[in-house]
Amino acid sequence: MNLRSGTFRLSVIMAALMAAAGSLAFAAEDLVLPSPSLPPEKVIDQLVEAGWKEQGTMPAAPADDFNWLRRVSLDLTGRIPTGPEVAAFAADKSPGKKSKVIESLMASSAFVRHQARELDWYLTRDKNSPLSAYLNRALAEKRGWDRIFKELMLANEADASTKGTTVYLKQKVRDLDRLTNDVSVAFFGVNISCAQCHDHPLVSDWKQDHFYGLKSFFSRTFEVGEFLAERDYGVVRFLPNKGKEKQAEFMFLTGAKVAPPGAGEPTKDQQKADAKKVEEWKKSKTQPPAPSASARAKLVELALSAKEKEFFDKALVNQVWYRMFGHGLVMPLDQMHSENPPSHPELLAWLARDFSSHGYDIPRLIKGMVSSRVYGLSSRHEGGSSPPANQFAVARLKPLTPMQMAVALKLAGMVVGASEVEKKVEEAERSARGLADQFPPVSEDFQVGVAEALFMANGSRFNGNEVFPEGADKLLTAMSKAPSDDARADMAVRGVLARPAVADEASFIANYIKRHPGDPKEACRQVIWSLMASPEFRFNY
Amino acid sequence: MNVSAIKLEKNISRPDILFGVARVPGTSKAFVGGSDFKIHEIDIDAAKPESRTLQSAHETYITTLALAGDSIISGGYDGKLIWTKASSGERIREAQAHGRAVRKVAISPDRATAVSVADDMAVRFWNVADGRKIREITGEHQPLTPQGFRSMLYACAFSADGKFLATADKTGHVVVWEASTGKKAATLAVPVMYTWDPNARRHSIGGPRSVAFSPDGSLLAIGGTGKIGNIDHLEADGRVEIFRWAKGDKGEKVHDFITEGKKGLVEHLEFHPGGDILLAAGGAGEGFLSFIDLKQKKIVHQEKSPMNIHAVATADSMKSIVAVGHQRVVKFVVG
Amino acid sequence: MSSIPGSCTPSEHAASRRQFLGAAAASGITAMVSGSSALAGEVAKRGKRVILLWLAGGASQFETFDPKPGAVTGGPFRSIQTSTSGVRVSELMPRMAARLKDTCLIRSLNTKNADHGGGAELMMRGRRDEASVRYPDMGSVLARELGDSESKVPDYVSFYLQSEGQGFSGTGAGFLGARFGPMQLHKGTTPENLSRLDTISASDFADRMALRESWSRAFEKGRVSAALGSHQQAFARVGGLMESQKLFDLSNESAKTREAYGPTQFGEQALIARRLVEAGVPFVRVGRAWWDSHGQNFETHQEMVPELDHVMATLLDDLGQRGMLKDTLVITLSEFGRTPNINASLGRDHFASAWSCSLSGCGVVGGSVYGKTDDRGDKVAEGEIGAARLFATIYKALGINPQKNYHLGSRPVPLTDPGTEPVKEVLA
Repeated sequence: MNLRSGTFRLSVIMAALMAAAGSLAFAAEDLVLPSPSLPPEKVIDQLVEAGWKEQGTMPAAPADDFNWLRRVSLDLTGRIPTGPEVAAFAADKSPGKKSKVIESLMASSAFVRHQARELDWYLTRDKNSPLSAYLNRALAEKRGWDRIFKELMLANEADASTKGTTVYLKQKVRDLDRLTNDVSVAFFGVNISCAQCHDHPLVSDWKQDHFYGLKSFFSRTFEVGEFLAERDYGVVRFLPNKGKEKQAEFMFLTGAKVAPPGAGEPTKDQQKADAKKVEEWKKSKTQPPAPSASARAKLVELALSAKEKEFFDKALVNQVWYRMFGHGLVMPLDQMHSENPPSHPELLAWLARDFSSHGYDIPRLIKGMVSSRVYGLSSRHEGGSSPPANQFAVARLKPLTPMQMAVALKLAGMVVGASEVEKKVEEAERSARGLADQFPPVSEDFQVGVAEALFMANGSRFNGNEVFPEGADKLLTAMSKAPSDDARADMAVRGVLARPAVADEASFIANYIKRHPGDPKEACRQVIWSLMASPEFRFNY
Repeated sequence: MNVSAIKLEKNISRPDILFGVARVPGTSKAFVGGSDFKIHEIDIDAAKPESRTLQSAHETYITTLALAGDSIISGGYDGKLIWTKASSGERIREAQAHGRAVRKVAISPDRATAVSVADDMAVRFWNVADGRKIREITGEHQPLTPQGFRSMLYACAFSADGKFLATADKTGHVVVWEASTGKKAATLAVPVMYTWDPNARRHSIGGPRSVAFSPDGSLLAIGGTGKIGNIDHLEADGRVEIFRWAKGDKGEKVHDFITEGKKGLVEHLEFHPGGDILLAAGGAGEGFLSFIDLKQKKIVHQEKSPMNIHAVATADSMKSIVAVGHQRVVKFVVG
Repeated sequence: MSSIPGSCTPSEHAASRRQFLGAAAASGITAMVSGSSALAGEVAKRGKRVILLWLAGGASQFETFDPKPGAVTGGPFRSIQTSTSGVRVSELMPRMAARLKDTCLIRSLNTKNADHGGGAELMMRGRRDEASVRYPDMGSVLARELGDSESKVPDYVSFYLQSEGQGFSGTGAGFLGARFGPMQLHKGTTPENLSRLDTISASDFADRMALRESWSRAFEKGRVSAALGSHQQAFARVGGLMESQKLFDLSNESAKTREAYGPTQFGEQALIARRLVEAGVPFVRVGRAWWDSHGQNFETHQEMVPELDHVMATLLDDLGQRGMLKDTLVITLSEFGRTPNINASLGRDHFASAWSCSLSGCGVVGGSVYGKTDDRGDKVAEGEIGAARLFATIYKALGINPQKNYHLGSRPVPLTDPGTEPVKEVLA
């Protein structure tokens, strides 16, 4: 590269970036944020409620205890509450009972498994959860999100604590454009692939230089058989939509740059020698050595540095918020840029600061959200038109993920004693995988397909022992042995929907069983089926 | 004959794919034909073999060539048989002999009769001298495979005494006929050579491609390929099945030979006049010549060919072997 | 839904080879679909149907629609004159040759992807998936565009009974979601879960559904959600779909009709496809695998092309006799064609630079040919088009604006890549 032309180009880019600099962040420095020492749930309630006042919004009533318990169980541990849990929660009259439940759910092993599964899907979109072993370990040890980011980027298989991380990069490394964009979406909340082919016309944050700048950090990464390797040289060249081909700089989304790591571009002979080495590693199936300077490590350093970490701090906050509330503070989730402000800028900024200043503690982030009053609102909004989603004045319906659905079906067929909850839940999760494959993954535009309804109506798998098992500890058996139809009704609703039956329901069910006198067990099965096929079961409402 | 003392003597590159070859006895001249629709004359032993194109041409690929006296009889995908004078290259006559592709022409030992088989599933006998149709056999080889797809009638050969004719279709149905009457003498089956894939790809591959009687007429060798897993490719080794057949009988299979390590179809089978050695030639992406010793009951030598072989013409009791196929004419000498 | 300032406009990416990924969804999680509907289009597309004859594995253009007899690449089969003067097809297709009047042959596809999975995805979707966008396939788009949400029949049925290539045959609803995905028939010609189990009586089945419905009604009060609506709708369609099972049962067809389609599986499925579109199914794919003739190309095509010729011609005749052809588009398409070069195993390999497909019936100029390859079939000589223009042409033939936008979040996603023009010459 000619030094003079390089300098020239740099100055042009700098000028462009300076013009854009004010809009790179969400002008966080201008926001007045509540005190950092406040508990997150208080800040959430304060800022969301302020929004209602401003808009004159009437929020939904609080969800009842049963609704809240089901919601928080599904969000924290991926499962519906069991009979004893429902009964104990209803019986508890103490003011701190919700906190107690949150603490106890978060202390259970199911919490780690569920959060790991959710993060796995978020990062890989692979229903086989390829990062499962690693993420379970990382979350069980309460590693921070920054550390998880670093470990996934560095992908050191040799270290026992980071074993199983390579698959994240390996899954995408054959398509570096995709890898670049996936990392940007998952860790920085911005989809910059638009900038792959042109400078964005309106969003000054996004230039082609940004896309190829970020790609530069991955361009040295490649596969050697089953291993991942990184060269200590290599640059990205691209053809801008205007002008001549250019070389990308090692540049982060904010425009911050670093000098190309490593010792510079190699001679042809060096390249030849390197190619030979790669062949040898391939043949001998050995892990190639780490580069003298890793570009990916540079990216981690840069993205987490005090001046540049805003993207990183906010992306997961928004994602977890989306997961808990069914709608992000910024929507779409991958459009966290200056031209697409959050609905609650102070809240996002405060939560991001809190997240970062508490060691990127994911459980803390989740706990703050589910402890808020806003989280506990009903999903039913009576009277008038429903307020817009970005006011968080009514709870959103969240479709169950395939695993949540399958585990719920397993647990709904089961009578669980108070002392065996953990064990039964784990069993249910283990046996739920195959059934989970019968349900489609969840996306924001999620629509229930007719295949699912047909599977539930006519599938021999759904209508057989897997979903309707019999035995001493099984709902169907217990229900058919119950002393009265009213008792049967209550048992069915509690078992499947995790709440007592209301008056109408009980009589409906009792009548249904009476009208089908030939085979009472079959009538019970049909009642259970009808509840499992109800939307109340299908959604986390 | 020491078959392992085989060597490649000529290796002539061609632009076309050749399916037929006939040699002029006592000379180094051969006629070849294939994908350019034309018959070419080549002097194989010339220092720089050049080819001369005869005037006769089919409408499409030539599939088979046979020489009877001074008559070259060629058959093609156009269903035609064309008689060409070997000495002058002049076209003598042409017959729309079949409704579909002619696959093979065989000449009776007395050189008076030519037999053609084709994908219209008919066997037709022709008077070499005047081109008159002597006889036809239809109705035996079925037009459709058991799965309802179009079948193909690939191979035919006379016995050394000219009394019998064997024909083989794609599904592995093989018939021995009395040449003089057209009566069925025996039926044999080589089902392994035909692979119908009902599940993965739902079509077929293979089928017997060559037949040959032993010099004494008691044995019938049938060449093709083995059972194939992935029918996108000719991925099985070549296969030869040998039957001891008798009139009115189903015949008794006496040997299965597999050209181990040599994939593809056996497209040419020929017994050494002594009766103990059987040559099987063919291929897929690459070609091979396999020599089967019937006394030892094994393949005694396999020779790699520079190309996939589609047809062979031997001379001098198999000491001289000319093979044609994918863009090449080659000559091997044995011993 | 509010729109985001600063989202890309589709046209900006028209010139870019690298396709636009703009202000889009995070790997499928934030796809909010909303279609903008042009009223005129809604009328034009009413009652339109599609049957896709999907020749999986890659049928050879030389042995079907673009013969080159006499060329070194031509292979052994001759060409024959068709019912359209000056147009010839392979001699393996005599029936189609005689009834080309409803068919437009397109001989100038250059689709660049000669890999089975990638090619199938491209030719089923009209474009490549992007890092962050999973595009819906043709069937899902047409299920959405041509289907009726209250319909008692499926919107999209796909037959693919052979195991080879089944796992990467290009189907998928992408960002449109499972609602518009195919009813896949992989094991037999009767769909799964369409018939009531023996373990429950018809009256109990209905009672159970009614009980479910009552829970659903109670839950819906005071709750607004598209997902919730889809749940209710999915169950509401169950009864109708179960009725449609009879459509898959050929014993309801006359012996004469069944004979006409022939005894092969492909023929039976084509007949079922006709029954389905007749009953209002907007899109049926009849997959016929596996054409991947790396070895023995000519034997393979001599076996399979006559079946295609027979089934396709019979289907067009049947649709014509029933007066359905003017509203039904029959597409004959593979993921790619086959090489001009004939390999040493007498095979042809994968080839996407110059190959053919055909469109018959609804909205196309019958008895015509669009585009041309060179003498050896190595390159497109005239009228080169890729998957995008083929799709634009197909949509246009069905009365659908190819530039109609769906919205992924704030990002408008047109049915075909921005700026893609349909091929006018093909359209009636």
